Amino acid sequence: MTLLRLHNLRAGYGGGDIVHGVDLEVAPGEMVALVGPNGAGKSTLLKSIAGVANVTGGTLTLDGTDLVPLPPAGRAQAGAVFMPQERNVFRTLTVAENLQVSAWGRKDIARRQEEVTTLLPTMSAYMHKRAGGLSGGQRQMVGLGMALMARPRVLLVDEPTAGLSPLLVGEMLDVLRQLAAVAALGILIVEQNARAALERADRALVLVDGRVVRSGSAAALAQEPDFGALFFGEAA
Amino acid sequence: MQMLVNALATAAILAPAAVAFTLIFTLFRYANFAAGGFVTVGAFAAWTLNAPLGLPLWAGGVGAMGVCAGAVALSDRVVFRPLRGRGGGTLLLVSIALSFVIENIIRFGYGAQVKGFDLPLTGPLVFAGLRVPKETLAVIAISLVATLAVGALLAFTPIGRAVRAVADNPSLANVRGLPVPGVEAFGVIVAGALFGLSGTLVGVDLAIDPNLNWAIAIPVIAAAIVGGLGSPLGAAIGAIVIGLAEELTAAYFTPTYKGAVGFVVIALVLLLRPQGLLGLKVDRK
Repeated sequence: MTLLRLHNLRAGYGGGDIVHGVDLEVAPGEMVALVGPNGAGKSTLLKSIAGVANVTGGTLTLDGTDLVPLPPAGRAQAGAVFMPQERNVFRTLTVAENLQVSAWGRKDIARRQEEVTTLLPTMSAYMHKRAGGLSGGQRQMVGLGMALMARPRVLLVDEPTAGLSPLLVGEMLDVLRQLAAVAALGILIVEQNARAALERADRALVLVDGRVVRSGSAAALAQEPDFGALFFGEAA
Repeated sequence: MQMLVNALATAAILAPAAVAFTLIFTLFRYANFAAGGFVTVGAFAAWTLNAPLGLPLWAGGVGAMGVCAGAVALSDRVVFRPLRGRGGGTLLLVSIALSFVIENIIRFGYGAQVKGFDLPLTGPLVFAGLRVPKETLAVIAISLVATLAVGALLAFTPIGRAVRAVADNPSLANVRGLPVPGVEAFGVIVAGALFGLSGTLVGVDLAIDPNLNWAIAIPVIAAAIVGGLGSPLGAAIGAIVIGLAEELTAAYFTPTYKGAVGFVVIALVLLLRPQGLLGLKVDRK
């Protein structure tokens, strides 16, 4: 069963396409990694699904619902929830407030907050601190918690380990891997630590210059002899 | 002690408008110098409902809050929203221009004659040598309740959290599913209602005339800056500071210089503590 489906998707920011005809599918419980060199269009692809970048062609559906006409808030309400790489928490709000405001319009906020805290128990220790005063790792965890509060069906995660120590990189990716399985969540992740992401992902796509140049099992892709060249864009 | 009562009365007039000013600044990142103009609109709206139309002042005040909410929402829709994304300096200049437009519309409609509310004559309350007019007590109580209510709204309710979230990071609020334009509109309407309340309260204490505009704008803006732009509680505290400073100036120098107090306090705050009393330090990018 496919949850998120992109067909021949083209996207950009108004000055010409950056993503050129990408086909991609994500199933519930599946973690799909998008890897590739800097400037390949990975983040733009995620943002176009979230409604932050413009879709200029192709189709984009979530469980059969066309996402293209929806604004970013509507796509989040529909279940395609984006976790930005930077500035992904409300710095002046406490962690608890960050979680609560991320479930806007829902009635079971307190119960959802409990569920999210159970899934990400480390947050309990700093629940009443202002998010702006947290460490990078704590902020990423809160950002993830906020995304989960919106009851996502597909989580669009943009470089969740940027700026984290090597120890926390593995921890964050493990959390995402577990979430996909436990919550039957589709996860589409852009990750700079390509090998670490491929170790956890089910499938992966290599994007170079806005086009998918390789896709398949993450484990198999990581074993390919020219993986390094692909990642750095030399095989494009 | 009498000075403290007078200072609290001044603070009570300034506080709702200062909270409104900081609310608009927090949401949209510009200093709306039309604050005095909106307070003046509130004063004239309350006067129109109270004196010519014969409604009790409380009804005039409620009506003034509605009129001001509409005026601020209209100005946001027509003047400021098309300029979103421009620098704070541009919007500040536009707001100054808007302030003159508002002042002259009022002057055109009502003339330059001084007006006052139709209030029953009552004697002051006297205790421990203090003479406190009942109206002053009412002004302080209403302002306190309104300011606390708005503070509680922002701190403890879902819509208040949403306003603070949108003010903090509108892009993130958008991808988190918050209805950003609706939340901004709510903030604008609350700010407008607060301007209207200040307008009503100022009319109880001072004469109502179009010149209120700048007479009230500078202390309101000074109170918001003293408290720390972005902090409603700070704005309320800032109003007390300005009220005290004005009363001390009147008592120990001359009432003529009361109008300059706001400028002096702004200069001192910007020199000594630019983030204000309760504002957060931000890095300039």
